[in-house]
Amino acid sequence: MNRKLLTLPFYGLLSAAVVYLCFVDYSEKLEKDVSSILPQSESDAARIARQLIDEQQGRAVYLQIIGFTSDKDRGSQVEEAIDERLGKSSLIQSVVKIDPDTNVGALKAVGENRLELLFPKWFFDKRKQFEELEPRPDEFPDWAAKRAVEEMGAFLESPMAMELARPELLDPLLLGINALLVMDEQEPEGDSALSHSDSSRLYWLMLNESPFSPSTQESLQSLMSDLSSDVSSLDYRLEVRYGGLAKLAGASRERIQKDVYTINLISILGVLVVASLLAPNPWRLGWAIPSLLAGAVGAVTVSFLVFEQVNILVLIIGSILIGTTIDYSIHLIFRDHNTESFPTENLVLYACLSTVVGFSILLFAELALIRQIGVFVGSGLVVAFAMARLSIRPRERSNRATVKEAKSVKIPPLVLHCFAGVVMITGIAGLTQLDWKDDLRNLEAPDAELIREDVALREQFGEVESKSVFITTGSTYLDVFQSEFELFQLASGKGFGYSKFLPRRVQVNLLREYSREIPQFFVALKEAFASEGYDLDSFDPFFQSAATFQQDTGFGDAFFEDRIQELADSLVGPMSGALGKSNEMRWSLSSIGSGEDQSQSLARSSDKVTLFSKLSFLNQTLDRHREVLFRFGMIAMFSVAVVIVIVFGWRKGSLIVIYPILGGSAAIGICSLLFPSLNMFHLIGCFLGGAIALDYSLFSIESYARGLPIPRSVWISAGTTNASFLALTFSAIPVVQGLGAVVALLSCVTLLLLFSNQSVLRRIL
Amino acid sequence: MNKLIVATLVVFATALGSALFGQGGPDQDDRIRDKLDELQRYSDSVAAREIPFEEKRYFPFRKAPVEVAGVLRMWKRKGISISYPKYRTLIIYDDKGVLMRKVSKDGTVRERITDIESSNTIALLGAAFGFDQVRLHQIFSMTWEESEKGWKILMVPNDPEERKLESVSIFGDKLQIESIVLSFVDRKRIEILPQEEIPKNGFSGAEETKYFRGDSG
Repeated sequence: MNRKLLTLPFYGLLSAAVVYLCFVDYSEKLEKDVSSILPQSESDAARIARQLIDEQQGRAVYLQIIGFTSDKDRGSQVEEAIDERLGKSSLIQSVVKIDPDTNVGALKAVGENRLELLFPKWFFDKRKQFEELEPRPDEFPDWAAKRAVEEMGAFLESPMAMELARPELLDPLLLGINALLVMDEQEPEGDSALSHSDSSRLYWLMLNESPFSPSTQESLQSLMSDLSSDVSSLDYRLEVRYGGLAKLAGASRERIQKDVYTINLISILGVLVVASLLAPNPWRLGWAIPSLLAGAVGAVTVSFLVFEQVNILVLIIGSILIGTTIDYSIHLIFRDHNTESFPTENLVLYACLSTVVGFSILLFAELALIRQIGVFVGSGLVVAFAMARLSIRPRERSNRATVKEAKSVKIPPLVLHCFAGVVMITGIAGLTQLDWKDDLRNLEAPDAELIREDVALREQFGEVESKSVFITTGSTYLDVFQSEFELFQLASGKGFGYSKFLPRRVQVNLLREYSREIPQFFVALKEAFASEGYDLDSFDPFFQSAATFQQDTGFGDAFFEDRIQELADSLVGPMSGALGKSNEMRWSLSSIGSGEDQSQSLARSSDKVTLFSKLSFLNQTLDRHREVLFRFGMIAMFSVAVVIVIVFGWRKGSLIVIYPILGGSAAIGICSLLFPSLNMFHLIGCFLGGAIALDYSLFSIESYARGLPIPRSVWISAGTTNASFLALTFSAIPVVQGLGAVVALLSCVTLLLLFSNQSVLRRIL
Repeated sequence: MNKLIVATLVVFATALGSALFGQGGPDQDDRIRDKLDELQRYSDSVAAREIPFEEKRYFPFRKAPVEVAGVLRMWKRKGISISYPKYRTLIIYDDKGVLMRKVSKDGTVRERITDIESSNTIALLGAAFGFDQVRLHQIFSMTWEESEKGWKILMVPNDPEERKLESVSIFGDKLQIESIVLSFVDRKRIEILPQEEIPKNGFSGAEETKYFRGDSG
């Protein structure tokens, strides 16, 4: 084909791409939020969890200000300054000050509707006790009224009576107080929010914007430093501590950005060092630079054009392009020249296409991140190859005078065989211990110290890391609480959730069944309290609403649902989001102090219950996607293998295919020994490394068939590829480390096997 | 005279000493100070004591008071513990602060650490029985009244915002505390009537575990 005919439009397009990249808005095109790569799941619980993360928990900022003294006037002055600063910040949607009365505050909404919200449970419990009595008294209303009086007496004798017998909490059935006690029981022992020291103040802030947005993270940081300077301007020494997703995500983002620079630097240096060691005239590697740059420009441009936003992780993983796109230039520049130039241009083309096929399998993945990597790397490879073909001049490619004869490496065959044997045995041993497990947290750059501080701070707000959180869903709150209550029963009554005191389906049903007894009960209750010397006037509001309770409600579902929804809407601070509705679904969050295994089995007990803690359901989603990817990957690799067998004949073709497979198996086996568990990125690395190793196998087998040694260009290419992939193992992100390790190992092992088996291969071919 | 009650008074009175001298005339002050010194010496000679008490609780919505029994244990080495045996509840005050301990029917122990300032009532008891004059002055304003029937110390919290506890009145005759009355908002009131002391030289290991804070706590 006329080279000039192709060159002009290619350079034209490339120039257009460069212009595009000069003007594109990177802050808009680059997505720095790791969680956005998660698939939009169909399950209700997952959707609700995502909504909670996006709009509730994720936006919470936990603020603790430490160092208040007993000087109350100064303290209030500082508190006013803090309130003013937080109040006028456009970043903050709402501020909730956490104090010992927080539970009482949450109960206010319950207290106002205590009959509607709390009486169903009281009635249900009493009715059950009554039915178990032997012999059973004749009249339930009288019996229940007497029980209520006895319980009131016992409560007033208990040590908490003086504290809790407050008009807003007290009622003849102790409905409000019992609910408070149930809520209080969930508080962790020791220094909890209910018993926090007077020397510190806790604020629960809700952000207006996503915690993942860099501008939110930066604004939050400056708000906190403004807060510190406000306080110090009042000559008051206080420590401001804050935590929450915004802070963690901000720190993670900074580390990822640093990662991009470090990895690229290590990668470039590694490639240069390796090239200077292996290449006869390393300066000639300079001819690869245009191809390298064109590859990068092509990859970024195509990805930006195809996707609305490209995740920053794609750029990190894109660093591998430095190693792979340079290969085509290397094969063309450092070809061996014996009877003919080798590898031939066609072989390099096959190599490129097979690698592109390897990457293109990623396009079938459901995860946006993986599709982006597929497009990014695939397009980068094609553009880089085209650039190498067009820019490296024929005379440069065939300039025999500059090419030194490759010195054959003299390693005793026995040593080589033993080494290859040890590697394969290690790999096989590792394969027996495969453990695949995906964890969302592996996608982020962890900072152990920061996370530890965050956990400690959240504990001050009553969030306990060791407790598992469950989402229970249903079409009505009554059903949700029924399912949640059954979950608690399975957990031997442990845990906390609103079903512990709010109406459940069976309670409301029972209330309806015995509705005729209820007016009689309230009459009996009044009489019993009067005869025991209680002043009924004090309980007047209660008895007044009791008189109209049944008429007003009719004990219909809708009535209870509305009251619960009012409560859900009134929840603030750490409790907000614990109850809610989304479309036609209602949900309730509950927590149980169970171990990981027990939590998993509890979650499996009902299709209404999903484990929310530790993002385990998101991890399960990743697991599912890894399995899909594995299936697609195997199909694509099989297709590539079939094409190669057709093009090169069954004997040569199957030999070309088998070595990367052996290398891949050994690499995965060794990685299963090196890493605690394997994840989707090891699998991606396997396909990626397989595509690269296939090139080496192709060139080596073809060389052996022609009676030649492994071409020098393969060694140089393997060296540079390894340098750039090993650079990835310096990443702070676990999955990136895994990917780098698998690809480097896979290409090395494949080449080792090809090299150590050369005499056998020559005989076969 | 019940010696232990006297000793309790000593503790209390010593803590209040400086406030008392500020209120009365010089002769009265000298007389009280002499007696307090005398009782203080007695108090120092006793390592541990156990005082059962009766508590009457008055609520605005109930005509008759609710009566409960409790036991106050004081031990120089470990601090003070107030137990309500019927409710398996214990309030411990020592130099680490206040610890509430509840033992459920199934034997499960639940503890909650409370900062001294989070409850004025507990703070009062702690400060008074723990000789903490400084803290008492931080929390309360104190006045002294004397009549033919005996004497009364009235203590009112300084911070008007934290007046869930409105006042504490201690009634006594000569060197005996007859009652302590705590008045709360919402017309609630507690009357504590100390009873006959059970003499103790100290507490056994089992009692220590049961009634006082463990070393790690």
